[in-house]
Amino acid sequence: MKMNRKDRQLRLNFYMAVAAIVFLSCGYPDGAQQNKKKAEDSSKASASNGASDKTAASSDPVIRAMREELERSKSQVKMENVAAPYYIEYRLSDVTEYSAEATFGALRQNQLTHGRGVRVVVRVGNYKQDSYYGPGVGVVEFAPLDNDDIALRRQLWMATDRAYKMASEALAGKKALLSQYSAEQPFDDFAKAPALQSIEPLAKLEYSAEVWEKALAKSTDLYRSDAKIQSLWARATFRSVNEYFVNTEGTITRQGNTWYLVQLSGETQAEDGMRLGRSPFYMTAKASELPDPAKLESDTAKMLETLKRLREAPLVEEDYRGPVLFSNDAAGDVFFGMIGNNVLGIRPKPGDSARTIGKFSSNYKGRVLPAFLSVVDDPTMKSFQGHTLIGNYEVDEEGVRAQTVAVVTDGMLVDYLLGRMPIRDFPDSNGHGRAAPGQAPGPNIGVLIVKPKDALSTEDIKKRLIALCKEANKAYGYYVETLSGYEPRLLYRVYVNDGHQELVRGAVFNELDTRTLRNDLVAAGNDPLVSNREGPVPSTVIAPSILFDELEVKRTDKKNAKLPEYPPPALTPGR
Amino acid sequence: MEAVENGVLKNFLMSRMPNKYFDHSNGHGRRQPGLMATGRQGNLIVTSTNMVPDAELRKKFIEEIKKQGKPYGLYFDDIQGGFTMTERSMPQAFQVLPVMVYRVYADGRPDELVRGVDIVGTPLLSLNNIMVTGDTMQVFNGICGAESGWIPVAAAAPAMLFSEIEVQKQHKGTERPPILAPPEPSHASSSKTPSKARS
Repeated sequence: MKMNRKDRQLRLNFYMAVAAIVFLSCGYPDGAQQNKKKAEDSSKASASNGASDKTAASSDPVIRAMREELERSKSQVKMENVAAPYYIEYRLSDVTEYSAEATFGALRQNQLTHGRGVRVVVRVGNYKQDSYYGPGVGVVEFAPLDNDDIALRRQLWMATDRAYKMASEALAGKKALLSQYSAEQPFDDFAKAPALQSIEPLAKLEYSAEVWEKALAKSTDLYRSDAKIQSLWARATFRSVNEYFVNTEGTITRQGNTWYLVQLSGETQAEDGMRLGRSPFYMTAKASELPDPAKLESDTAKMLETLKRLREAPLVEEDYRGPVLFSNDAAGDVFFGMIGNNVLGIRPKPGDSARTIGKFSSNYKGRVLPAFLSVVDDPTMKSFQGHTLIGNYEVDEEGVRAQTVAVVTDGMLVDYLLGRMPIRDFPDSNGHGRAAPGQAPGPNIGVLIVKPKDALSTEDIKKRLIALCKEANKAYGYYVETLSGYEPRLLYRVYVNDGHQELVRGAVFNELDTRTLRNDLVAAGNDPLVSNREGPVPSTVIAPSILFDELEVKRTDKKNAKLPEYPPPALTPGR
Repeated sequence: MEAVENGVLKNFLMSRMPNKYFDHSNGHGRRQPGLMATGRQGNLIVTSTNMVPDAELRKKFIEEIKKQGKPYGLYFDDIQGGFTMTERSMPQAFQVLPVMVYRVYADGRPDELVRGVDIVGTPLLSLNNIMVTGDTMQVFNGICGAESGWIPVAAAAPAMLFSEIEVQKQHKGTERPPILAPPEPSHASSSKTPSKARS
């Protein structure tokens, strides 16, 4: 097929368009000019309660346009033979993202994008049963970047019209589907929530593109120090999201967040062909907390040094079943995946009687962790031991105020994290309905904190590891420093006789799962580590190191690749 | 590079991938970044030895309408694009998506803007129906998509009078128009009643 076209009349989704803006915005020196106006706005509206909220709400041109069009839609949208909407919401996300990437001493990409998407949800029916299903979950459109009242409202008008028409279709489809199942749904489709007015300052990125681009290039120039380094890159991604939300229940919120992510990645191959990689990163809510160029460079050097040590490290040949100590970094990954994901109150599809889609669906009031561990999600926490937390927010993407939720108390599952979509026995939102720009909200963690009782010092937990090994008649135990997924990246043998550590490679865990976490954990450290995590929704896990009395470590069955057929090009100093 | 000479195909636009009859590239190996190059169009220029001034062309058009005993002919002024099926396994057909189409009446009535037709056909048959061309070249700059991706191309050609061309009715949507009227500036909208439910 061969095609010609003058106009590209493609319907892009929000992300594609943000990508499209890339080409228009390459070469902006930094985000400063674009955000200048917003900075002015934010200084005007930095109050966050009562009467000043109302003033700020009426002076913000985006909120004003959204409210006007919402009012018109609420009072007038109606087709004959179709019920009028009982609920309408508008959520506008204003996203600015800067990214730059360098490899082998030179920049290979930089871009600044600024885009706005608006998501319109129109619900037909009532709280008990409504149209939020299939085509009825909302319409996403781009929105104009300037604050022109009529331009914004025109976009909202068309999106509302489409969302209403699709909602009526969705409700009919949902009723038809539910008629195939016998059981009545014992909870509402949509949770009621109090009207909330909260106007927070707008967020704005602060960085110097020039400084970062130089720093990334310089750090990756260290590839010259090691001929066996096959890939070395560094990337900075900085994002600000300002969310504007209004609904027909009277909720009006505005909030802004920023996150700053700097990633390093290096890859090499051992003599036997095993691919070895490391990918440390820094993620913060404030630019000032990022490493400076000198620190980035020394950390890159450190990473290259560990890659070299990994290359020379002995292979894990024999299966091991015994005590394993996880560092706070590795434990953060485990708690994020195995606890964080399973305490989300995500409702299964219509007709499915399970409480949630997670592994803890039927564990309410049951034990999911040892009794010495409790887990709380507190999105209102802004920082911990001097580190900013990117999982912090005051109001979720459904306009509900964030609540601190104890999900696991003394090892027992006592609650789920919930948005406004109720699940069996949990009729209300606890302010965890979160969403990426343009996406439908759903339960997500904010700041998940694992709190141990009788926590051991770093020294004592290592002593405990050795004591357990002695009991089990082992010459050594294992200590995991970092994970990639649930596989160890930096894994050490800790010898019983003199306590020395030996880096090893080529191992995986067998049966590291929620059952192991519940039954085989015997101690936790007093060394909580903040782990800010990138994802569709920014989140944070704070976890201590943990000790398993029994876990299986075995040799990986991954195939090794061949080494390069010929050496790298010669370095020519002085050029 | 002359591809068609006096109506006869002489050359293909070639990349460095030879075929049975042509073993050299003529510098038309083009691609979108990241894809493999194939023979593609650059600046395609159509010239004619049977030209008349554009005003004359319109007269000839009306004469032909009368001769064929039709009440009107169609004048395609602007298109948004089109596509051709070039796979061996498919019929070699093309479709052009016009946006500005006029009925030109034989009886001298003013031209009438119409909508809802596409041009369809097979290239060899359709292009052999060109009777005469105008004398003014027009340039089309566009993005062309094929095996090697989307690339910028240009084509220049005069107006052409076809004795016969096939058109088909466009797919027609039945979506309801918006329920509310568009928003109006807020200082005016509060007191007025700008919108009324349409049924």
